[in-house]
Amino acid sequence: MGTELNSATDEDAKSIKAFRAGDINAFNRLLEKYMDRIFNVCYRFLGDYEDAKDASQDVFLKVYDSLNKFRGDSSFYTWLYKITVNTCKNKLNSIEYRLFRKMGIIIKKDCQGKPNKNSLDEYIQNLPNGKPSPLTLLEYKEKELTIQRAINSLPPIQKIVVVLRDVEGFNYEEIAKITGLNTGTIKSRLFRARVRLRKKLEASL
Amino acid sequence: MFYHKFRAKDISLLIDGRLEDKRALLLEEHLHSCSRCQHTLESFKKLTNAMGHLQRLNAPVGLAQNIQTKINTKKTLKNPFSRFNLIYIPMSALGVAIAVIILISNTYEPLHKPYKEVAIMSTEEHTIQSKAKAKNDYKQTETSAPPMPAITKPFIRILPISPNQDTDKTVNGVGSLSKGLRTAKLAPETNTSDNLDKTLLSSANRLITKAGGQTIAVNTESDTTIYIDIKIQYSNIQTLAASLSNIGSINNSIPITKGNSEVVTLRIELYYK
Repeated sequence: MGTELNSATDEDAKSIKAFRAGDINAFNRLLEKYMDRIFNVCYRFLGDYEDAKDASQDVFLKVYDSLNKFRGDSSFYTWLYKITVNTCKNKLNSIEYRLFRKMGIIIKKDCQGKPNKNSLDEYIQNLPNGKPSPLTLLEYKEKELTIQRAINSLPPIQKIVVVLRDVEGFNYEEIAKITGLNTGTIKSRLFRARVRLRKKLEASL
Repeated sequence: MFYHKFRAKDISLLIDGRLEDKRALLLEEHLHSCSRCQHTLESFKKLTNAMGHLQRLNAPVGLAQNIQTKINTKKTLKNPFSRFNLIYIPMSALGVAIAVIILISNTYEPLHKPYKEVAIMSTEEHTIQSKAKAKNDYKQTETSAPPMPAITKPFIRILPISPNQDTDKTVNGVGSLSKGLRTAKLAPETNTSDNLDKTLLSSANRLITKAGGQTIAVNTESDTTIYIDIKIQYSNIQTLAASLSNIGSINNSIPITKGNSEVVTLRIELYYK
């Protein structure tokens, strides 16, 4: 992940320069490039399709507002992930969100542990282009949802660290830059998250 | 959670390649002989593998468009001169206009005051006019009301005097006492007037009479003090003192002792410091 993004930093720098010079298309290029990745991270953090949509929208609006203030001390993608993590963390910590999650869990229980129909349809639409058998697809989907539910159950910091490391593939130093945590804390949070997840997913892995 | 010499955390770090080289070698050696640690390693590997292969979701269709629309809306609101913002312009223009009006009304002074008309006249005419003006000014000064003096309360001293003492003679070297009511200037001159003295005397007399006293003599010849000699029933002295305290500050503790007679003779001194 790191090397892939590092190769793109020059391109990002050019886009940022062009944006500062007044080229709005430069921002659109950055948006197109990172939109899927940011949406995906938001989804893993928040565990809800609509919330992830709102959060990623907020992230890009913040980026637009403060791109002129971006000093370039770190690479653009680190800065972008930092904004993403903060936006999602704020959302996860908000009382409204926690209440909503509680209510959401009750609704999901009523639906026999399955997500609502709209989310499921969108989820199926976004699956890879291969044509697996319905059974494989269902198993795959179930496994995905089980893992996501296990991630959802983690405390916010553990969730952020494990998603950045195991889902997004960032190394410890990059995670430290994004989250502002030191490496020791990252190691311990990551370990605790993995132990929790292993316990929850032991049967399904 | 100990696994012999190694913790599960060490296995987690080993997966990430973050365990120290020496410790990593020891753990790898240990893994050959420990099924429990092998199982932990396997479960962590399975977990990280599953997490790493989670489906990468694409952003919903229309998300980019939504973001761009929101940015455009923001830009429109931020830019007051946008042609789309029809309310913002008149409001801001009105605000500026009001501010300018307030500023002008507060600071405006005519730069060119109208010139005074100057009459061209001879020296003789000028002298006559000057005299007339001086006369007029003098008249105005005469007719205008005198400035009101600052009213300050006088001090009052009530002293016993001998009933046989000749009230017409000099007392304490102040001057002769004489019957009747006269006016005099009281010090300080600027703060007093004849009218004020008369008022003060009449007030004092009224209060003395009301308290059952009888004025024997009044001396107003001193520049600083009015002396009033009175006869009063011993029992009425306190009433008199209380009444007089309305017109001035009583400045002594009235050291009067009851004599043979019930009627005592007192001197009331009204003075300004």
